[in-house]
Amino acid sequence: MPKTVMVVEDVKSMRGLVSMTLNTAGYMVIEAADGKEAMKKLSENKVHMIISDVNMPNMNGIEFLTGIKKDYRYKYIPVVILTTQGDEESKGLGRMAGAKAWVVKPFKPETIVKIVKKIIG
Amino acid sequence: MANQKKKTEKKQLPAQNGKQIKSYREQFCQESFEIIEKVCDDILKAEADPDDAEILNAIFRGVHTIKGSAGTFGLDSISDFVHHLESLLDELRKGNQHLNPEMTDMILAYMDHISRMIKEYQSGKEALPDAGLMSQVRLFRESEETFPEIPAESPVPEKPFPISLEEISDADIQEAFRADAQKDYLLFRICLHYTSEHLENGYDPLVFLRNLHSACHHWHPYYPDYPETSPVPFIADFNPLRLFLNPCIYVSTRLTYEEIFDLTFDPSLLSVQEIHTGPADCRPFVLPDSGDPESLREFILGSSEMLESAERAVIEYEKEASQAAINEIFRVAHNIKGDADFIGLQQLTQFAHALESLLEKLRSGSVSPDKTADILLSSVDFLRQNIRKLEQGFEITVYPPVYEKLKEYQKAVPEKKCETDKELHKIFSEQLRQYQVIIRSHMEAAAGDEKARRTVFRALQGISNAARVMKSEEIGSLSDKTAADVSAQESGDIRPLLTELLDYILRISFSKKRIGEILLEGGKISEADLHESLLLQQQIRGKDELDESIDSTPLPKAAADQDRAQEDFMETMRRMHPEEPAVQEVRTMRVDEQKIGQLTNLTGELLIARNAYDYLLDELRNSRIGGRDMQKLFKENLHLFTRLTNDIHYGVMALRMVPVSGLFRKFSRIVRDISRRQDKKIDLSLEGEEVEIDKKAAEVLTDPLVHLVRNACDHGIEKSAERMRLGKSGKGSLLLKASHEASNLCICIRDDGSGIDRLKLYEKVKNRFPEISSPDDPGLLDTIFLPGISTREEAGSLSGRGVGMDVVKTAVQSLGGTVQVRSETGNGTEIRLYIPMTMGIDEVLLIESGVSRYALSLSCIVETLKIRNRDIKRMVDRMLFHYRGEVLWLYSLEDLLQGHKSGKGPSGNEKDKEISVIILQTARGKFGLTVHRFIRNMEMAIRPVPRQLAGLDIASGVSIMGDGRIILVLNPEKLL
Repeated sequence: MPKTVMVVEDVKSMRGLVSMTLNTAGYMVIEAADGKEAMKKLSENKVHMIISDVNMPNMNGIEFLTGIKKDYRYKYIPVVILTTQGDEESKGLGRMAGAKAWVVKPFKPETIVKIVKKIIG
Repeated sequence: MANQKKKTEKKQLPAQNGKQIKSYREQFCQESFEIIEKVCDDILKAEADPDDAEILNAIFRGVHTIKGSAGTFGLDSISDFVHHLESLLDELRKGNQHLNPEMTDMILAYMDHISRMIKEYQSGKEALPDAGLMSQVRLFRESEETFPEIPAESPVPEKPFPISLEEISDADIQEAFRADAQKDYLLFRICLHYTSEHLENGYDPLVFLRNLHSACHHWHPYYPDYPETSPVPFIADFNPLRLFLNPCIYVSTRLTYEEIFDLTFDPSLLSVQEIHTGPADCRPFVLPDSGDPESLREFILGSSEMLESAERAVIEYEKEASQAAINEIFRVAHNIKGDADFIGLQQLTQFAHALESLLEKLRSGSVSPDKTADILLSSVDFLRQNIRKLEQGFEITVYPPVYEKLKEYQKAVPEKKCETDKELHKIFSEQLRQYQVIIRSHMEAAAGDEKARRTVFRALQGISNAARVMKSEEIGSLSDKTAADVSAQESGDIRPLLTELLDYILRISFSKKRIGEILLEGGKISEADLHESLLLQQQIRGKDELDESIDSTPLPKAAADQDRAQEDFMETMRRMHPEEPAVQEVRTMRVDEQKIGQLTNLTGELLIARNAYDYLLDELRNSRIGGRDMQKLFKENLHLFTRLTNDIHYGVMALRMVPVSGLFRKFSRIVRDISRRQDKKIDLSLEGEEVEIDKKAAEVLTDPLVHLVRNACDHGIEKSAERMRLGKSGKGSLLLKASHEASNLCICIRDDGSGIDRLKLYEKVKNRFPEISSPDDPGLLDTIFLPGISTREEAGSLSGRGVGMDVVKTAVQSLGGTVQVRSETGNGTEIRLYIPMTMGIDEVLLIESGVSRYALSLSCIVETLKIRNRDIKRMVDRMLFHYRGEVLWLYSLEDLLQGHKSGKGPSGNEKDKEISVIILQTARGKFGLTVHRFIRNMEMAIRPVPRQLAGLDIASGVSIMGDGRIILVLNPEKLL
């Protein structure tokens, strides 16, 4: 039974690339363009892990993260945030909100697969 | 398994993916154009309203997105190009920079170029950055920043020191891991640092553990925080979101240290330590990058000998508290400290330093020498252990208990601190000077030569370390910086850098302000000291200038540097060791110059002798000299030749000779240890230390001698009380003596202890050797050299297991020597080792027996005489005769060689016939040997018995006569 990863990213091409790479590696992928859409899709699907960008319109990564950690249905889903080298602020916020893993942008798509494997196997 | 399957799937789908990727890339281009358009629009808005932070933020985000996406799509040139602009925009949004019209123009141009690059990429061309724009951006920014490489997810922590396999308590597990290590598996201890917070947020440690487990060969988890009880509560108290277990796991795996971290999403969740298979208090010693394996080897070799010399000095110091002895110990400790520091052995350096402080106090008299001998000896022991471990590639990590004592002494006398500081400062100046010399002498070569460069680098590190100790931060950081520069500049000229540093060091020493004044103010050094060191430096400086003015060509300058380095170094050595070291030490195979001088002279004479033959031949040809005179001349020259060849032979052999004192040196310590441990009083006297012995023989004899000395102390010499009871002096005496006896070197170990108990020994051996008839049999004592014979009831910690004496004999025999033992019950034992001095030339007596000639070494012949036949008494089938008041057995050599142990010898009919008799001295006593004829004494080059004749033990060697005949050299010990 393949595990499901949710990719939350506003840039469509990036989202597509990440999804495709994860798909190829054998994971099911659910895409969302921002936090709001992600929240909605979470309630419709069983998700094992979330990869989320920080800078997004509507609901940014940190707000989204804080949101799901408040909801007992989603709080046990591990989250990886996509951050930039040197952006210690969002990294810190993410950590506080419960995202213990992150990927620094720009990243190679394979990096994403690696980290997913490390977290959900 | 599942992972592998996924991987293969990935490989099977490239065609479909390629198409998809293409469409995503197209999408990326479109998005980028949109972003660029919006960014350009925003910039114009921002120019109109420079205080609107939100717009600047938006601009930054847009550019940032392009950079991130481009990088992820593998468009590194675009990502790189955009990065430079992003950095400027970051400063803008943070308010560090203000948007002005020039900047706006530039940013717009930049955006246009990004757009152009993407278009080029879209049309399949190579996207080239605009270097002009990039440098313009840099102009606007104040600080230079380089583009970071795509970073690894998180840095892997630096490798900690390995731990020992012996830390694993379970022997079976240890064994399994040891076996794995032999099969080239790597061993690690991995500890997990997951917290409950991780668990609450959905990060499952089991994922990591599963991944790790599948990559490991052996796997042994344990829970260090809870060694006894399980921390997991009963189900009623169980909180599913709390993490109760954080295991450590010993694993054997093919993964490397880095690869283990690759299994986790956050390296800080793990600590991984390599496990080495060495002993528990050690870790494998890894030479620092700047280290030089050669100097490590030299250090190991050199210090073993230094330590021996130190040990002897300690014994001497304990006896006489002489200043020379303490100076010698100090010298050794100081040298070891310096070398260890240079190599990067921190532990050893610190220990040697502590030892040095104690020695310093002993030297100045602020600590009384009572009871310090034990501390000094254990310190020397620890240093030696360390060196031995280093030889095996380990570094001791645990200080011995004696270190605590040393530290106590270090603390004990605070009022003397100034003294030490002063000394320390002296040493520091000395070190500085030495390093300067090193740097100067390698500076020229360092530009091209990697080795010289490394030497310079190490010297710089040395300065830095020394400066840190002296709290002279300025010099420290400057040399650190220079060292970094030197290592960074792979090739090229580093001279200016070094000159700068050296000048700085000189300057601060000169200006009298920095170190000098500070120390002076603190009362740490005296005015005179400062003056002296300044003067010295002035001299160096003066020479410097002189050199520069005279030598303009680089080559002589380098030579001059070398000279000066040498000179300085000698000067330093002289200053540091004003007194001659107490004990001379032999470091390597050193050859006395005199010996070489003699050899050179001899070779010269040899040439003259050879030329004499030329002359003689010429005369012979012209027959100017008569036959008889000619013969005489030839004979004279032959004599000359004989003398010369002999002398040269001895000269060459002498090159290999070292004084026996080196061999005897360690016994003072052994005797002392035993006497302390067993509460005996033993007086060790050494004689003939100046006698020389072949270096190889000395090495072979070390262990046998240790054994013999231990025997003598352990079961020879009795305890004081016992001795008094027996009417002996309370102090036992042990003599170690080396002397020449004929062509042998004799080493004699004599004690005045209890001697060998003949009765006991007889009881032990009588069943094995029926030929030994009574406890008084002269052959009885020889049995102690047989394996498994000991009169000791129980084995002590020192000796008494019945092994050893046979080893002694084997070792001595391997050198072609013999062992003799004499013992009187109650009065002590004497063991003599006879080692042939020269395996080459021996003086022999040539004899005739039957039709053959034999040789007998003169060293075993007591006397040759002729007796009348009637003086021989014949008993049944054996012969006896009176010899200077003794009755000796007489054997016929002919009979013996034919294998008869007895015989009547020459027929008894001719009573007046003179019989040639040789009196031989052997380990079993004297006996007479009848031969047919003595021929003459001669010197012979004796070779070992060839392998084919090895079974023939009556021959100790063979030689070839002038006429080509082969002569057997008989071994008197084996004749009977």
